[in-house]
Amino acid sequence: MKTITQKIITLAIVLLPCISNAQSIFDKIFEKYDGKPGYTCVSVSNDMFHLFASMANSPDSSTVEMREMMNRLTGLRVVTCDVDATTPLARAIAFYNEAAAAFPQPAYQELMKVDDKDEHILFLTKKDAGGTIRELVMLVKSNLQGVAMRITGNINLHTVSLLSRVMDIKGMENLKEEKEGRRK
Amino acid sequence: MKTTEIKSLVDKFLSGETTLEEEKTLREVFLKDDFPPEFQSVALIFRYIEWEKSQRRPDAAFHAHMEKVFAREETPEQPKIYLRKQWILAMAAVVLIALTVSIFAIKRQRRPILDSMQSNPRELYQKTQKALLSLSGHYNKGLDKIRPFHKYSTAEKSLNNHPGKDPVD
Repeated sequence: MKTITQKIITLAIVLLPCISNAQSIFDKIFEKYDGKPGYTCVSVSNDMFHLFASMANSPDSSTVEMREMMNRLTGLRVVTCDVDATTPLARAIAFYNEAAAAFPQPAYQELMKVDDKDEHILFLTKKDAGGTIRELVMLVKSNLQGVAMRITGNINLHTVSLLSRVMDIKGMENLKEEKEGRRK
Repeated sequence: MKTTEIKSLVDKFLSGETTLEEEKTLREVFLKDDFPPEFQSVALIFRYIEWEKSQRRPDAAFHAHMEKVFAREETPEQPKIYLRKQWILAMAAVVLIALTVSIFAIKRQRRPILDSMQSNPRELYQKTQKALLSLSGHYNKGLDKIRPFHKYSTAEKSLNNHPGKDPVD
């Protein structure tokens, strides 16, 4: 009797941390802003990427590089805070700071930092023991928006670079159109 | 009382034929000390019975005790629920597990909702493409910023390595 009770309690104690650690800080931020006015949230799960792989055969604008990239990904989450009449710049900056705090430095290494006169871009990576990039984080702060994006999987930076070069998009394209598309 | 009367009563008593009245008379005779000495043995019987009565009479405490016993028998005792410490712990553990499992289940349930919100997979695919292009664009923007420095440093290197280097400084 006593041993059964002890086992049950031990099991409960073991289960608790699993549940509390099930979500990362960024996931919590994502869920916090998901559906809030002024924020655009996109989440793609591993299952969804599998579905994309089967969809990619149909003729569309996606390039070989894009398909290759998607095949390697296991997750994508983006939160965009667009500055407009209802959302002041201060809120976008506050959002950026909150998101930046979700990726602490020892676990995430700084890959690149761009400080422009009107844009601040920060790239962070998280590598596994073999040196492969497993997470790529992009944080953008500008007068127009605050963006936090995280992709997970087996990430090749060269492919990341090729995506837009191949599409001949100069990189200034952002998620604003996407937001408009969602409203329609 | 005459000795002959006593004698006849005692004989009747010993043969078990006395009435209660007669026994009472005998008792009165023998409890007094002036009975004829030949009835000593019979007198002892009555005196013993009298002594026995005084000794065996239940006292007040015994009565009270017996009353309690009878009362208890009349109203059956309510069955008490004795909760053992282990059982309380087991119940607490069950509640804890139920809570954790339900929390886990709720969290699990929320995940698909996030995806299903982007109801159309094709639409989500387009969004994913745009998000990745944006990522790539920003990445290249960063690279382009760094590249001129690379060019500068390589140019500087080749200048420094030039054999006809002019000692300006």
